[in-house]
Formats: sequence, C-alpha cells, structure tokens
Amino acid sequence: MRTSRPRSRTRAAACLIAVAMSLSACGADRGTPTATDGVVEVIAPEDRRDVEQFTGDLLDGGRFDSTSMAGNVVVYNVWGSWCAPCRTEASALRRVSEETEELGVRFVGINVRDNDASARAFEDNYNIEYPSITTDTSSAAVLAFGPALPPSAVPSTLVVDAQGRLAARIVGPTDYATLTTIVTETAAEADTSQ
Amino acid sequence: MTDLDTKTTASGHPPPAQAAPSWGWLRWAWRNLTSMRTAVVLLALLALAAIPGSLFPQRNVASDPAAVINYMQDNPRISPWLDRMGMFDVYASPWFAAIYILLLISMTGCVLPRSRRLWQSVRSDPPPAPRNLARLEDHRSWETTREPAEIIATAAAHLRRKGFRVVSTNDEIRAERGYLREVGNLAFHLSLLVLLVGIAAGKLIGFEGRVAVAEGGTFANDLSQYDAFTPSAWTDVDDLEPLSFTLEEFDVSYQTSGPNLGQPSEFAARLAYRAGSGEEQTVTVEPNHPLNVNETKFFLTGNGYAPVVTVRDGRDKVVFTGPVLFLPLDSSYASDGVIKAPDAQPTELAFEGFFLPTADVGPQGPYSRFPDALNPQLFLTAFTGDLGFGDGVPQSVFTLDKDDLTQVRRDGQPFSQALSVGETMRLPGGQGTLTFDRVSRFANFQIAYDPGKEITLVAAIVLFVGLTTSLIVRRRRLWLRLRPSTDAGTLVEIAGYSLTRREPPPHEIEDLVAALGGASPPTTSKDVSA
Amino acid sequence: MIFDEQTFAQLSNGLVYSAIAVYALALLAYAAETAGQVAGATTLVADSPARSRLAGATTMVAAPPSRSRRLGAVGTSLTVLAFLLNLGGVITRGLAAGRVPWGNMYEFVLVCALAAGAAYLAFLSRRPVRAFGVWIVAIVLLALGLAVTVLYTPAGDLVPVLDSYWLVIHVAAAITAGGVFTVGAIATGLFLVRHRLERRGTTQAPKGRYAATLPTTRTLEQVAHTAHIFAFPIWTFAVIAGAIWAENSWGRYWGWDPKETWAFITWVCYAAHLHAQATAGWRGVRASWFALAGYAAFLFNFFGVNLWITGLHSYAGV
Repeated sequence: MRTSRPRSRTRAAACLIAVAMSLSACGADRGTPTATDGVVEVIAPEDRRDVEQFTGDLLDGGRFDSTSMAGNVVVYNVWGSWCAPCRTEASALRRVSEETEELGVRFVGINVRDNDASARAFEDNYNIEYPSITTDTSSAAVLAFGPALPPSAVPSTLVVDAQGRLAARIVGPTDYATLTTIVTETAAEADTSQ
Repeated sequence: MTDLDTKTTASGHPPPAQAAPSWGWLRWAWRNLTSMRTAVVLLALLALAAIPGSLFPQRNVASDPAAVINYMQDNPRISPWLDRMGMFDVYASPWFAAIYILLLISMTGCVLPRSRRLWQSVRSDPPPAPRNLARLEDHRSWETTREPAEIIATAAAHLRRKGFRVVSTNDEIRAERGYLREVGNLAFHLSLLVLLVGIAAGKLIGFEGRVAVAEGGTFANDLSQYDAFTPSAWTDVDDLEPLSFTLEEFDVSYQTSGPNLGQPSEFAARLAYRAGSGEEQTVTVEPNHPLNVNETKFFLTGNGYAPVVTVRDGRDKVVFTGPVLFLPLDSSYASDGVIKAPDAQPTELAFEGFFLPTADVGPQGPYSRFPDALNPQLFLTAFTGDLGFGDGVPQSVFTLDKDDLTQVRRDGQPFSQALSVGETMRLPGGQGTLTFDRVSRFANFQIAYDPGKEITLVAAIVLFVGLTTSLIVRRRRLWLRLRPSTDAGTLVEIAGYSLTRREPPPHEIEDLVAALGGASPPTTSKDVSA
Repeated sequence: MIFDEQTFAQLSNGLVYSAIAVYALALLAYAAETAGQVAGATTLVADSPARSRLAGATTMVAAPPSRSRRLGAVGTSLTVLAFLLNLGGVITRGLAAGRVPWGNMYEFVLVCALAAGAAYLAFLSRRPVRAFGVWIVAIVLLALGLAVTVLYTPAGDLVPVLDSYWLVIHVAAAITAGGVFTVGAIATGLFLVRHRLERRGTTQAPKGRYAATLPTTRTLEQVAHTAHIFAFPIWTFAVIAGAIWAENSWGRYWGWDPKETWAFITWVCYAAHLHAQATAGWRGVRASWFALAGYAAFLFNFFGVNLWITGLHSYAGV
C-alpha cells in the first residue's frame, strides 16, 4: 500500500462524498458507479506524481503504448457506451480535443465494461476521432493512475502533463469550460518549462 | 460484573466509601451502572433489542439488497414508522448502540477494580485459617505421633507439587489454588472491549463491494469497476489494492441423477490475475476459497447466465456484440434481462425477455427444467424509440426506461420470439436483427477488505480461552493445622473451602491425607452439627 | 461390494426408525416409573426440604417402591439401546453420504438427538437425574419423529458452499452445545417445579404431587449449573467457528444474518443467566428464566429461522 499522496484531505473527502452520492443514486440494482456531477481536482506541479506506463489494444485495431505520448499533454477519458453521463460530456471532449490538438495535446479514451461493437457505434454517433483502448485490455490503463489518483468513476477524465505526471482529475462528467481551461493551462506549463 | 460462578452473591463492586455530598449522586449512579444487576438487565435488553433485526429486512445485510425497498413497497403505511424507529437498521441504530455501550461501560467499571484486587491477592499470602476448621464442608482430622515439623514439611511439599501456593508456619499451612480462574474471567471480559475495537476498525476503514463478471470479462480493482461499493467512514477509495483479473472460465456442474437432481455440485471460477506490477497468475476461486491479495478478498458468491448476442441496426451495422447478464429468478436459473443498443440507427433498439437454460413448455407456459444449459433458449420482445440516455441520468443495466420506448408489434400483437443458439430474430420493417450466438456464464464476486479482522480474531480466541478457563478452573483454599492432642500425640486437622459454586476436585483432600499417612473416616460438618 | 452407499442409506433409515421405536418404549417405561412414584409419593416424604437441601446429592427423599424403580432401570436400559441405534443410524448415514453426517436439517436433528441422549446418559452416570429421563426421551422422540416425517432428505453430496472443514467444526460444536443445553433446560425447568414445592416449606406429605418425586432443588440447580457452564463455552466456540467460516465463505465474519442474530441472542441469554446466578436476589428462580429463554432462542434458531426466515443459511435445506 502506498503511504503518501499528492493531494489534500479535503479534496479527497469531497471526492468521497461525491462518489458515495453517485453510488446511492444507482441504488440496489446493479449500477456501475457513474458520477452525475463532476468533482475537479487540479494538482500543483510540485505535488504531481507519475502515471505508470501501460499498453492496450485500440478499438480501431492499433496498439497503444503510453510511452509514445512522452512530451505531450494527454487527456485520458474513462467511458462506456452504457453510461448516460458519458453521452452528455462527449461533445465537450470532442471539441476540446479538436481545439487543443495544435498545442500538442493528445486525447485517448479508455473504454470500460463495454463491448467493442457498442463502443464503436457510440464513437460513430458522437463523431469521436481520437483513439480508445478496448474494454478487454483496459485494466492496465485503469490501474496505471493508481499511484497518483485513480479514475474512481465512469466517466472520469485524467489530464497528464508533458512529464507524464497526473495534473488533474475530473470524476464525473466534465463540461467544455472546465476541461478547456485545465487542458490549455497544463499545455502552457509545458511551453514555459521548455 | 462478574465471576460467572462465584459463591458470593455480592453485586461485584467494592463497598461504598464515604464521599463528599456533592459527588454522592455521581457515585451512586456509577455504583449502580457497574453493578451486576444492571449488567443482567442490560444483557436482557440486548437480547430483546436484537430480535427485530431478524424479523424485519435490514439495510446493508448482504443476502438481499432490495429486501428493504420491497418491504417498504408492500407495507407503505407502517414502513415510515418502522424506519423512524430504526427497524430497518437495528444494529446500527442509536438505541442498540446505547445498550451495548452502556453494557461495556458497566463491565469495564467492574472489571478494572477487580483486576486491581486480583493483582493484590496474587501478591499477598493466602488468608489464615478460620478458627474452627470443623465447620468447613471438607474436613478431616486424626491423631498421630509423627513430628509436627515433618508433617508440615511433607504436606507443604505435597501441596506445592499439586500447584498450590503455600505458606507455612510451625503449626499451620495455608494453601490456595486457582488464581487462573479470575485471570481467565478478566481476560474474557476485557477481550470483549478488544473485540469491539476490531469490529470498529473494520467498520471505519474497510469496505465491501460486489461485481458481476461474464466469462472473458475483466475487472480492475478501481472504484469505477464495481457494481456496488459500500465504503466505511474512513475508507480511502483512491487507495485500493492494485489488482486486475480476467474471468477465463466459469465451471458449474449439477447432479444429473439421484435424489438431489439439479443440486449444484461444483462452482469454480478460473481467474488470470495480476497483482501490482507482478506476473500474471492463474487461480481458481470456489465457494469457501476466495482470492486473497493483501487482505482484499474476492469471494465467489453467485452466478448466472450471460447469453452472447449480436445486434444489428436498421443499416445492418453491428451495434452490440457480447455477453449480457441475465439475473436468475429461481433455482432452475430461469433468468431475466435486457439488451440495450442506444447507438442503433435510424432508431435506438432495446430487447427485454428471459433466458431458460433447459427450456420446456408446461401448462403455465415455458419454464426451465434444469439449471444446466441443456436446451438454452432466449425469449425476447423488442422496443424502439428513445432509451433515455440523452438526459445523462445513470441507468441500471437490468431495466428499461420505457417512457419513450414503443414495443415492436406485428399484426397488432407484441412481437416476440424464442431463440435457440444460432437463431436470429428479425424485427418487422427492417428495423434491426438480434442473433443469439452462444451461452456463457457470469460469476458474482463479493469483495471485502476488513483490516480489523486479525484484531477481532485474536480477541475472539482470548475470549474463548478466558471464558473456558474461568468456568473450568476452581479456586479453592486448603488449610492444615496441628494441635497437641491429649495423649502426647498431635491432632492433624485438614479442611478445604471452595470459592466457587462447584465443589473442589474430590480427591484433593484424600490425596493429602494419604500423603501424610493419616487414615480416618471423613468427618463432615453435617455429622458434626447433627 | 455388499455395502454400497445405497445399502448404508437404507440401513441408516432402518436404524433411525428402530431408535424411534425403542425410545417410544423407553418413554413408556419412564412414564410408568414417574406415575408410580407420584402415586406412591405419600409414603415417601418424611424429610423436610431444609434437611434434604443440606444432604445435597440425595435424589429421592426416601426409597421409591421397588416396582417403579425397576421400571426406571428398564427405561434407562432402553434409552441406552435407542441411543446406540441412533448412533448407528448417524454413522451409516455418514458412510452413505461419504462425509460428516450433518449437512442438512434432517441430519442435524438426528445428530442433535444423539447429543441430547449422550448428555443425559453422561449426567446419569454421575448424578441422580433419572427423573429427567421421561423429558429427555420425549424431546428426543419428538425431534426424531419430526426428522423422519417433515425434514427427511435423501443422503447425497453437499451444496458447494457447505463443503468446508469449518462445517465439521462449527456444526459439531453447535450440536454438542445443543445436546447439553437440553439437559440444562430440563434441569432448570424441573428446578422451577420443585422450587415451588420447597418454597412452601411443607413438612407434610404433598399427596400425589409430581414435584415431590423430583430430586432436591440443590441437586437440580447443580446439574443445571454444570450443564450450562459446560455448554456455554462450547456454544461460544460454535459461534466463533461460524464467524470464521462466514469470513471464509462470504467475506465478512458477522453480518447479522437471522441465524447469526439468533445465535447471538442465545449467547446473550445464557450470559445473562450466568451473571444472574451470581447476583443477589436474582439467583435461583429469576436466573432460571434467563436460561430457559436462552434455550428457547436456541430452538427458534434451529427450527424457526430455518423454516420461516430466509437468510444466507437457508441453503441448509428443509
């Protein structure tokens, strides 16, 4: 078990409450924890921790290796086609991914608890162009964030800085304004540090 | 409290001391709280208070999470009142807690002074003999011409060998045995406090979760992957054990003949798991044999069928392919479930129905004859329209929100079809198809992390050993006294006294008499007084 | 092989039915003995309760007529025989199923009856408790009758969740405790009956009174006490072993499942009894009621919870 972690207790508590609430909303019936309201945690550069290296298969048939992202800010989005809140944030993700591409920001989806056919149909429907790791090979990706902060819910959005450290976590659906601010700020850090 | 077997009928607390008047009532209250009488009343209350929890459905009891909800629906009038009184949460209710906390305070208030007294009595000598030994129940006396010093030495050596604490003078021996009884008694009571600490640790840091995984499916130990997760007050949900597994195969077998036809005889889930950054390993999880990774344990607690289907939409594009969990309804595994294809076009598609592993048709309609998949069939009806995903509200994967859905009909009747493996259901109007590819199973895992478990186990062992010791060991005293007798010899008197309600071991006195070479018929107090 | 599983299963059933028949005869003999004593009680009581309490272990205040004493001896012999038949039935059942013979309700009742019989015979060998015979045999007969009529299950394999060595330990402890608790409960009940007689301090012969044929309150109290302090730790162990098994099987050692709850209630009642026995003013009659409540909770846990309340233990099979 890990001992120290780069975050304050209050943030952890806020997240815990949000997750607990989303869980109770799902009730006794089977419902994977799906957050209905995003909880945002932005981590100061000096407090950041490395995300572990991981690989996975992509929905479009290729292979993903996180080391190939070195030097880029990467936004990982944990999602599933069965998850209703994932649909409400899909257009925001697509828009930010298009707008920040020239800043060197890469977007990668992590599809969980899903089947590939449904996932591809979802991507077609919402015109998602960036790649996604398949459900069957998603475990390594999900666990890779553990040393920093794990995804904790579907959807979750995790922003990794150019040095491969976790810079922000959004548990629950995000929106355009929040995401674009976090991503452009993280990308700007990379420019000033170089 | 509380020697469970004492002769004394005192209420277990030291005699009242003279107190300043202003503290009088406090002392009075404390004395009453720590009295044995209060303990008995509280124990009786505890037993009574535990009863409703077994009669009403309880929240957070693993057997059936929906029990409370169902009960409330069935009994809408009394349920709110029962809920207000905590009847659905008896063991977490304030009144239940009040009883056991008072009981523990009462117990502690009694046990601590007793521990002090035990310590004192172990350090001090056994008390002197009563003046008239003949009045005690076990009494022997005889005359002898042996040297007094020799008698004392022989008797003291004999008693020491038998485990007595012995103090001897020129003409008297005082011996006592069985201090362990009180030690056991105190250990028993104090272990209850430790037990509570262990339980509290689990309740504060541990968690319980549940996940259903179909064959071929994966699980990563992150909160996002659980079907249900019950954290404790201080559970760090961001610090779960890094662990993932794939359910490679789930084996079930049933008795196919004999009196217990259809009874399951084997459940085995073969997992390929990876803990941390370690190598992938294979393990078989069975009932009573959980997967244990650093105290996060995965228990196989249930299973069911997950038919594999492929759904094509109106454009003949595959919009779903994979296993769908169907929840078992009875012991023959007739199961129900839904299939959702929210990205189908031109219209969203949904299917609802049941799965029969060994389908047969009886007078009541189709049913499952056997739990194993001997003649698997899917009975489905179809819906089109809006599944309701667009508003962003999370949905259960086991139910359909039919508000904006229309049932597919043919000739005015709801369209439904029974599918065997390999068969395809074609919706009228080319709206889509569903193919039943094959049967697979899912396994349900209960995941538990309880860091207080070891504390609780140790406390339970101490509790048991302490209790047994305190009930088996008999604390008793033995005295020997020498007096010059009339005809120049020595009168030897031996007497025993039990501090517990059970008599001392019967041969103890005889053995001592024999060791001293004395032989006289026992003289008991009854004979003396008669 | 001549002795295959089927043969053992049939043999077991035959032995159990024989045990029932012999227990029925034992009940008749004991009942006749008791009736004879009650009728003859006039001639017996010449002693004061105070004296008999002092005398301690004296059972009968005076010698009962020899005919009913003979009947009692016959009853005891028949009980021993029936016990052995019951034992044979349990062993052959185990051989038929190829496992410990306490995997379902039917077998559990069979073994519990055996334990109650064993506890009674063990006490009888060192205490004058033949007056219990009629009650013990009646309870055992009732249990066995219920077992073969309502609870009967053919011998077979265990459901997977029961397939654990903790089953052997946990259930064996619960059964042993149950058998001894039964003797304790009878001693306690008879103590209450006898106590009412002695409280009056009558020195005249209470004509035709059942209570007059019973052992003295002191003997009854001692037997009850011995039974309870013997069975209570075993019950404690059964509960702990059950918790360990539950942890092994379900991932939590205590979940307030109805079976667990009633085991807890049983434990608390007996704990209250033992504490009350050491409390001024509660010892004796009042404390006895706690012991009887504990036994009632034990019985309810065994029958009521299995039959009426659904919980995780419901696989125990009715």
